[in-house]
Amino acid sequence: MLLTCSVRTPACGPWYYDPQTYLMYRPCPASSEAAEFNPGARENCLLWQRQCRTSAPVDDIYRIVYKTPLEDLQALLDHTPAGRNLSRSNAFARVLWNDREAAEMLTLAKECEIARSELNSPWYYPASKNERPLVLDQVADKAGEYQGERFRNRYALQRVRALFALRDYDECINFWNDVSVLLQEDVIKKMAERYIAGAYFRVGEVGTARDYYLRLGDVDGLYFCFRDGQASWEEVLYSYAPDCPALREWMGSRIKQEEALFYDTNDDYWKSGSVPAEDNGKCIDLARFCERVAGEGRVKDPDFWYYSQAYLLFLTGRAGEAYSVLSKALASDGSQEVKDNARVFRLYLDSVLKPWSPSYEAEMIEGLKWLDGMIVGHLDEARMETVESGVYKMGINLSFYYWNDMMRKIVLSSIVPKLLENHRETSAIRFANMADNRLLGLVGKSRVCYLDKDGKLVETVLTMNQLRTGDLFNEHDYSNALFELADTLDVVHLERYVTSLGQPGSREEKFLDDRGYTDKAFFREIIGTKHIREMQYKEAVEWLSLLPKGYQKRINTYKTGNLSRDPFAQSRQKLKITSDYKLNFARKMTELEAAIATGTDGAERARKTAMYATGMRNSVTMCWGMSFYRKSAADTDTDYFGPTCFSRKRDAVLSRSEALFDQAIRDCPDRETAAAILYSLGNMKTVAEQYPQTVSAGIIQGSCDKLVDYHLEKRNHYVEGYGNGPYEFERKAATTMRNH
Amino acid sequence: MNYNVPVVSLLALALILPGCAGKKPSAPAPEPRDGENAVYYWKTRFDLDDSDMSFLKENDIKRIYLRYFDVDYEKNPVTLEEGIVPVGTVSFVSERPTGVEIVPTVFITVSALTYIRVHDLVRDAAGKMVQRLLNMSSYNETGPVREVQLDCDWTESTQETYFALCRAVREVLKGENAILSSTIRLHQLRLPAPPVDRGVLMLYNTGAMRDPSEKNSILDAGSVKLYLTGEPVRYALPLDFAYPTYSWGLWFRGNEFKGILHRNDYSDGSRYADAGGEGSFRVSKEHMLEGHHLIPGDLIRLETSEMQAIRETASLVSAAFPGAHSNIIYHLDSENFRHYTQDEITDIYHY
Repeated sequence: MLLTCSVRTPACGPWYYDPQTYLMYRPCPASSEAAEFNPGARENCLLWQRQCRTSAPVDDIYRIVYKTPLEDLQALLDHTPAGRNLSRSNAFARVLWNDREAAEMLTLAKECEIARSELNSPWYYPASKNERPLVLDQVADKAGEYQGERFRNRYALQRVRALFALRDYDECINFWNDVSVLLQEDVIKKMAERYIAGAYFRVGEVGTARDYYLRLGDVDGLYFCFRDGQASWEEVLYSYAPDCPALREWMGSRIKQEEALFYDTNDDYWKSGSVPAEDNGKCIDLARFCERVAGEGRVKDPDFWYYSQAYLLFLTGRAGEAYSVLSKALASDGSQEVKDNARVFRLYLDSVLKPWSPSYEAEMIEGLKWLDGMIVGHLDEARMETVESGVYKMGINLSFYYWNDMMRKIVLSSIVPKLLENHRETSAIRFANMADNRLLGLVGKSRVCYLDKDGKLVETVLTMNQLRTGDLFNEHDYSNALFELADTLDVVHLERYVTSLGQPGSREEKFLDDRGYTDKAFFREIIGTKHIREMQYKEAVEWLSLLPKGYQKRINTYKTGNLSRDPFAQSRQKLKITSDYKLNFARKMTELEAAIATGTDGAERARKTAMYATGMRNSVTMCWGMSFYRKSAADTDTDYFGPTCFSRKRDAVLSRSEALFDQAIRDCPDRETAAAILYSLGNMKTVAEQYPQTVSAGIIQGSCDKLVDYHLEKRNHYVEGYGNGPYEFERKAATTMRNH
Repeated sequence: MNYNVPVVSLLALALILPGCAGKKPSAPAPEPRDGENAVYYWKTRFDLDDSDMSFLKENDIKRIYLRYFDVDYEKNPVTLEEGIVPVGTVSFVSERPTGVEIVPTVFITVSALTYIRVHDLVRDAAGKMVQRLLNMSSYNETGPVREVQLDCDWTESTQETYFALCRAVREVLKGENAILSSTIRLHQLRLPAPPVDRGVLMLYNTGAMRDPSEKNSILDAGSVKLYLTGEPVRYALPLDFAYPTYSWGLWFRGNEFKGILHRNDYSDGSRYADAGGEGSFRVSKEHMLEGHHLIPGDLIRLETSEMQAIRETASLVSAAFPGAHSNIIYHLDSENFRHYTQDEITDIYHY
């Protein structure tokens, strides 16, 4: 049986993060690989496109120019089989296969790059005082010999690079002064000018170097020229190149550092609403810097700076101020991506700051609709990861898909608790359902792990339907926020919710239901179970009767073997037939209730009362799967909305059953019946000592010479199982009998 | 710029950098050398003044273990590129003293070791380290490299990586006819010996520097005794022994350790007051010292390498490791040597 061996993916902690702790701040718009690693790379690729008169995609060009090793370029140049293979898999490689001049140029550039990187490596140390790397000399010479027009700029760049790396700065500048007027104004010439600026700097002509850097917007170079030991890096950058990406990236990384501290699971500063005091000042300084940059009109994207300022204010516990700054971000120039990020942030702040009202509710639903559009619109970013680990990551609130993470953060950490505070439990269930099931519903698949019968770990991808209806442990539906609510809220709220499924009362409810998991049987089964837990057996029968045949096979407690013991036995005995386990139990309890209520034979009524009390007790002890989905309050992965009610419910059932045992003994019309009941409950010592003249006592005395030992052993057996188990009933029942 | 340049092998490096090619020292692999005086040099400028030269001559120093660079983990805060890099490379001002062998020594931080392990960079790191120190020796004309020493505070958890690194470095050095030695800290004595040719047992840093209740963290014979007595130490490497001659001031505010002060004279009564003897001083007047802001109430624990402790330690070492060996002084600094007579220095070398 596979199902009994299934394991959860995470072998050990961390088990759970609070949904609040999803990180919200997004520093930079998502960028393409080319833009991320090589400023100017895209322009360079486009220039290759033009120079080679090709329509090869930029990505293919990028891969060849920036990612392909020297050997592969050489293979293209030499027309080897490896080169042919490459030309079949990449459109630009195909161009180079037929364009020797271009292939030669790129090969030289790659040789130069490798030699330069060796020289620039922190590990480089020359082996002698007059060492000149031969390759760079050769590159410089070869580049200087090029007489063509087409790649003149490119060869000039390689000669400049090689001479610069050789620290031949004078020759570098002389060469540039000779050729620069002949070169076209393009990205390649700009690249070369950066080296020329560096060469001027190194020969001591700092003013000329600075002019070059300013014209080129080279921030690192500028900082190098302008640093005076006083001004900070960001101030220098802002003064001379306010729009440079480096400045924005720097601010982004600083805020991410503070945000990580704020939400760090060890310190949980978010619970107090502010980063620690020693970082508060840093955040305020950064926020002031952002405010200045955003407000001085020198940058093209003030939205980013306002957005960053708002987030820094939020991290220092000034959510209200953050909210008003965020409005400026949304109204300022910049990019749609920053606006989207700012809108997410505002949705979150709305959910935190605004009191619950019909107008807010309508506004919030509109916001969530927009956010849902982002989830769907960016799904390709997350589809694969959702399949691979979506169930696991969402189960412990591990961040992996920004838009869905944000929806969960807003809904689970803010909206649901507010709904509960406002006694809108049914709505809370609806929202939690969307938060837990929207993405999985969209993607429809997830990977699960289990141990097969040989003990080997097997991983497989299942559809959500297979996960829910198959034999494997369902790692999603019984360990998420929705289940936590369904399991812990008063059953009446869940009943209302299920009744309204399929007939939503508003467009908003329909929006939520369309994004949740709405299998009524799932909720009906939970409702029936909750009624058993509440000792409302008639109601349990009503709900459990509605389940399709064999439904219980889907439940994890069935898969783990916890729906098989005889609920009316005094010791652990397996039932021969376990289908409709909960329903059959509820029916039997209902029948016993009726028999006790209407029975006229006192002895029979007492026996049925004892049986009823036994079923009730067992339903929360050795047959706990009847009433619960976990063995104990501690046996849980999550704790979304406060501690579960496990202990409280269990104690109530035990208390009631104890009273019924007492009543059964008290109502016995004669000692013989009482002894028989006590005997059936296993109270041998009591029967033997308190009812010596009864038939039951005779049976005990006839079969057990060492009664005390027998009794002790039996007690130990029970005590080992449950601290408040049958032994306690036995002791109390004996006391009741003595009094009786 | 392409950041994904493939790592070039040592062979390729030699081809690219012609200055490296054909420069292998021709000296044969040396036999273990016993009874030869040596000294560590642990500064970022190899700059020997007259008193240093006198020390080398008077004490017949045959080897200087010269720290060439540290290997540390580094992450660029702007580009976020990360890796292991050489830091604190020594710059050569003085030439190699005649008749003295320079032993390139490399300190490897634990974070570098961790990065090497996580990214499976043992061979790469070994190649880069050896190539660089060979180039440094060649460039600065420090003579043929006959030995290289690695220094690392490895523990059981980092032992596997350190040993793998030792094996890889030793393999590369075999081609250079050089041996590999490693420092051995006292706590490492009970662990397996690293796969190197020789070890140097560091007989200093025996206490907890940051603990305000510690009396002398540089050398306490009682602490050494704990490591050398009891179960007999049978170490699988020939060992040399390194003794300290340095001193420092350890600066505390309350119970918090604030830093190391290199000054070892706190006799200025206008700034410091004796704090109950045993070399402790209480700051009585706010002032700056070596870039640190000291305020009244701060405590400075002056620690020195006391001759008596060295003698006791040497006696323990002789009993535990009776074989022939060399002694090394940590480290060459004429300021420190002022606290010792020539006879005492001679004694240290003769233990």
